Amino acid sequence: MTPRFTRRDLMRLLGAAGFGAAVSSTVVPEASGDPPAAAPAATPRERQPIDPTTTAHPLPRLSGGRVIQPERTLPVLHETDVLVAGGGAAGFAAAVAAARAGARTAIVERYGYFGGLWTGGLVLLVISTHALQGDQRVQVVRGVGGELLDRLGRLDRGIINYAPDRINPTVDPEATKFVMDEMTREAGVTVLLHCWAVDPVMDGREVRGVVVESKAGRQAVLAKVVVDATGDGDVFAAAGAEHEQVLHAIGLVHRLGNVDRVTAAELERIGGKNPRRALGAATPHPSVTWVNLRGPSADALDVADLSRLELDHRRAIWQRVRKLREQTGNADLFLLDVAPQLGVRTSRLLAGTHCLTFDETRQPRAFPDAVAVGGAQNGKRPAWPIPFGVLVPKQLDGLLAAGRCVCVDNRLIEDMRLIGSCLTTGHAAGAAAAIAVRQGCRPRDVDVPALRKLLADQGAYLGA
Amino acid sequence: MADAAASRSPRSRLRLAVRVVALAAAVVLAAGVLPWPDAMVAVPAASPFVAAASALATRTLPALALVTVPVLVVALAVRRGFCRWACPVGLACETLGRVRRGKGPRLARWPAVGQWILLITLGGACLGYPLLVWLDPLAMFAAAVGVPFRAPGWAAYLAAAPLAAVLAVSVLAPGAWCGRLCPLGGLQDILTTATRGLRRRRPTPAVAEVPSDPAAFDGVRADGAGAGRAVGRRIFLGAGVGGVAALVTEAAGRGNAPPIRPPGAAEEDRFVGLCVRCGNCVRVCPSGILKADLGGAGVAGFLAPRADFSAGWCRDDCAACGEVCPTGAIARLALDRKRQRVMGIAVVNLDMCVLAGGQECSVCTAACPYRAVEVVEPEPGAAFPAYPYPRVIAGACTGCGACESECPTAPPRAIRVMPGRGTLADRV
Repeated sequence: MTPRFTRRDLMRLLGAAGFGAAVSSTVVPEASGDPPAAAPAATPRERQPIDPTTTAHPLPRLSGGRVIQPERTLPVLHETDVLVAGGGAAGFAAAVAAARAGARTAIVERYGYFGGLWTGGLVLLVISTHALQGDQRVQVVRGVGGELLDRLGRLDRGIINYAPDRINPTVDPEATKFVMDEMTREAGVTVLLHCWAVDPVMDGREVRGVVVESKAGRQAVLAKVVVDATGDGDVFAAAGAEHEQVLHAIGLVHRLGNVDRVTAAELERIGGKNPRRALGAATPHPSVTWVNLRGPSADALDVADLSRLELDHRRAIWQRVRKLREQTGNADLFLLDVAPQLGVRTSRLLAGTHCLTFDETRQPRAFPDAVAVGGAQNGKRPAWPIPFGVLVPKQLDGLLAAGRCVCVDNRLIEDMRLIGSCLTTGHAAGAAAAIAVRQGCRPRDVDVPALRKLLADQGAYLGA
Repeated sequence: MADAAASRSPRSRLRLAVRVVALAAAVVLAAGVLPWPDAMVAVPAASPFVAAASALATRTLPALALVTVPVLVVALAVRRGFCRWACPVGLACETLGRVRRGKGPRLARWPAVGQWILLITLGGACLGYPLLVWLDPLAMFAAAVGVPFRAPGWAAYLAAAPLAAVLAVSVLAPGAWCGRLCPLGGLQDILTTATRGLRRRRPTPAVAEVPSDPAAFDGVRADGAGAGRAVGRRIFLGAGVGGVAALVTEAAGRGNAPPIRPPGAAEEDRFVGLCVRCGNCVRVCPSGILKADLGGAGVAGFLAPRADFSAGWCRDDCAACGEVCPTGAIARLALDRKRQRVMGIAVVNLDMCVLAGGQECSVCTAACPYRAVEVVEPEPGAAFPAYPYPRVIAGACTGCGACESECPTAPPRAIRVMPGRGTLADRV
């Protein structure tokens, strides 16, 4: 496959950013996986004098107690057709789907890996992969998400714990990151990690890219269509799209190591009805379990709340594991890791052109513009078609939402925020963005039959 | 041989052919193999005894009662016409009666038990408790035919026990069931007597005379004159006994904790009376949660359906049990009204709850088709529950059992349904 990120792109990038070749080539790897085609790279140890004037820009200043951000021209880091903000389950699926549909696609992600809460949050259980269609249980997570699960299944210790009919498996986070990396590379997506999407770039009422913050400072990534897969709806919220905010419990996951060395007698000492539950749920590694704590309801957009919860949760986890070690008397049992990302369940919800309600999923409506199908957490409730309108902002143009922040009512949040739904709405948003680019129209105006055909061609499940 | 001679006569042959066809039709209908969803109900519902008892007890006359019209017409046109021309149980009894023909007890002095069963049941039905309606031959027949279509087990096999008992009686005492014991036969006799004034003035016996086939109604006595007065007395006495028994039943049942019944079930005492144990609801329940009760809920509810949520729950897109109930023991409800019906209410045991124990779990909240389980934050500083915990919203919980069947704790689970009745609106 031809690299989507050409040498010319890179040179333009370097020029725009005014940055050393060494730094930039690490930030932006070659999409093809080939060695960087960059010009003379400095070895990491080589010290270089930096001319401060090349990085200087007008700085925020204090003025009468207020902080004023002066107007300035931002360097353009990259230009593309479809830009996906956020590399979680939804963003990953959107980027792969858009790139496979032939659109030049880039993805920006604030951390150094894909998967978001799935991998970084260590929420390893993929629920809602299946649902009932009539009396038949069908897999609703197909397409990009289904391929990902299949490829995990082909790895050693990539995925386990399939319930009957292979529903609701548990994955290994590193295997998941690896397969996501491979699939984005194969699709030719331009990967921009360690970039935090902070603002939309506006052209009238239309979003034409995002501003990212990174070690390189503030830069712009321009695009024809932006997919907001930030989970918190950071882009559409900043762009002024109508939305709501919901408070939900924020927890933190940890994993235990050497659980297989805890003997039955030691397990007994924990007490309670089901002492094994205290040791958490199985992962693909026999010696490792994962434990999800619910945590209190809090504001996922408030730094004070998030900071307090990080500290409180980590202390609680440490105490919990210490107690387990004392109870069992097993010195090998240890706290393997605490998730790098807090378990934010939901925060902002888009006001879309269609608000999907729980009742509409209970007696599933046949939407002519269904672009995905939601699953049942236990695989035993009817599959529910998801209309295109939940991804489309009421007024804002140039943007589609994907993942947990799409437009649903309160009672449906619990289903839409799950990994399975994020994979399918992400796939739908990516394909829709690619069609909007291809047809040169606003995302809200894409030809739905063409979109549904593309989704079907890409293996997505759109109902019986 | 009289038998052989009889079977050679054209009328006899015609009657045999009609009865065989009727038997085959009854089997096919009761088996529920036809695409017509009401087919399963047709056989028990065709009995005027079942229809009358259920109409009196439920104070409703459903359209379903129309299927009894042909039976009534035949019964009025020909004395014991239904028994002789159509009843599938009658054909079976008569055939088995040939095994020991003439060797059974003399039936001439047996009382007309069937009429008493009928009158007592209808008397009770007036007060809401049709006590012995389950002795209806068509209901027994439908229950037995349904056995192979149910999950194997004692409860299923027992559904065939009443018919088996009737057949056994027919072997030991040929003609006793049809001539003396059957309430549907008794109903026809009473109808014949009561309507004799409408026919030609001619003395009509209160009990069937010796039937055309001697094997079937061997030894049936003829009462002759005065029968009309006797019937009137019987109706009065029978209904009185039934009414008193109904009151006793109601009083005895008060205070007992009934099991969880299907959605739309009538009040418990009336429900166990109305239920003819045909097993239709157990058969059609797509979740397999309805089971014939084997006595756990007292003798009165023996073999009546109860819900068990260990394997599934009452689906919110299904109202099948009410659709196949021939008596209205389970009301026939439109889906939106069924969703308002209460089978019980979920109750959380926080000591066992995973979420209240500090770990994440939202299985019950997610499983609930009515979103009737919410997660509540603990009071700040509370010793228990110190963690978020599930709480059931009474105005939304129908007791469908989804939470209980999905709860990951070992049985008895941390969230369980306690029986109840009524509608969601009652709780507001």
